[in-house]
Amino acid sequence: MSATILVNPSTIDQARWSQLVPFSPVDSASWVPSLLWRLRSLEASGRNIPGVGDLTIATATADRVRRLLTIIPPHLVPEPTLAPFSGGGIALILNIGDRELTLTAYPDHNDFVFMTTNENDEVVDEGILAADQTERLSDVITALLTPQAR
Amino acid sequence: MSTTQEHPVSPHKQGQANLQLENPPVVETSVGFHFAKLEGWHLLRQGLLWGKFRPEYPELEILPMIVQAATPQTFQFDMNSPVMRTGFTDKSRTQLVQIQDGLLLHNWRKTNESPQYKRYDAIRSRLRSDWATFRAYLHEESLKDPVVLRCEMSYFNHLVRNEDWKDFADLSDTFTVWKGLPESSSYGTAQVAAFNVMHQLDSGTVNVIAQPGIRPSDGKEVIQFSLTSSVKPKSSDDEELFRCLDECHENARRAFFDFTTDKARNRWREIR
Repeated sequence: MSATILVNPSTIDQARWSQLVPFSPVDSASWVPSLLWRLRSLEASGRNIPGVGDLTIATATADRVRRLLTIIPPHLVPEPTLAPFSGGGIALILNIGDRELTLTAYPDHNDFVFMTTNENDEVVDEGILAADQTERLSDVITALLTPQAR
Repeated sequence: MSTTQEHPVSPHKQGQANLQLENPPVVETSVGFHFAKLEGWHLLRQGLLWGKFRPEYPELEILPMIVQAATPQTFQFDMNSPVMRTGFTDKSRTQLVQIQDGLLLHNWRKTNESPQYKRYDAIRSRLRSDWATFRAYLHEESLKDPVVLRCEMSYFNHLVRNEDWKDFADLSDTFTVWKGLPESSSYGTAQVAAFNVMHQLDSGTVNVIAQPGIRPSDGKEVIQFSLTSSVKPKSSDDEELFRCLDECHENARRAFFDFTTDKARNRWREIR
């Protein structure tokens, strides 16, 4: 038994066939470049917003958010929201319908806090994950993407 | 600290300048051969082949299949004879032999535990040994010698933001082919920039790609600068194959020189 598979040439990246070192290209979804640009802006000049505080984030904190972006399947989720807060922390918020996942990175912490809420704003999952707990994070994201049975 | 010291084998438009980089941006190199599908090859034979490589490469990685489908744009997938790509890896996980029906590649990759760059001569030597092991196994199994369709070498370099560049307006400091637009233009700041250049040479091709992305291991923004050179051999004799591989190396080395600025190469010459 054999099958003929059509390959879209635009999806072929011949130069990377032999590559083994992990690399996540920014063109994986249209929203990724603009989100990265906003992160760079927050690293460079997020400070001194009157009445709000210092919203600059450290490069190490931004790196943790970028690592998250390599785990989130960018083509399956709409553009996340970035919400910096005073003191150098930042939240990445993903919305799927009325469900929401908030991933918060704090300065000088290698882990991040997550919280998933459902259509009724009830917390359905929450906790603290280390940056290398990628499988657990993938499970949290998969749960967000999977419609709940009623 | 690692050192790259490579001498051009033929005159070059920028003279006989050597590439002596104390801190080359390379994170991975790949060298090897693509060949016609082997009659009588199947997964069990591929598994048994690991036994030959295992003393030197005791670890196993299962890798996604490489699809050779650039031309034509379809390929046949025989469900009775599935294809698998396997990686036989040394203990340090830096040296790896990739095998699939139709290709054998040797990769060196940088790791935190073993960051020292392995020069072309060292990787070529490993490939020669791997290729000999593979061919000896084919003879043992009474299979025909592979008919090599192309020799290939790839360099994958990571240019890290805040080390090699700050924003995309800086790319002209690194790449000779990138000019960009002045910030005063009505386009404002570039959010992202990339290029992909394929050169057809007398004997093969060189593909040069600058592609922005994220490195999952540390979340760093990088521009992946990859150079892939392939050459079609006149025969499948070892001498011809490794001559072609040397040509691939020289083509890739020249492309690196031609596509990067003096300023960038001076930065990579510095001891950090």
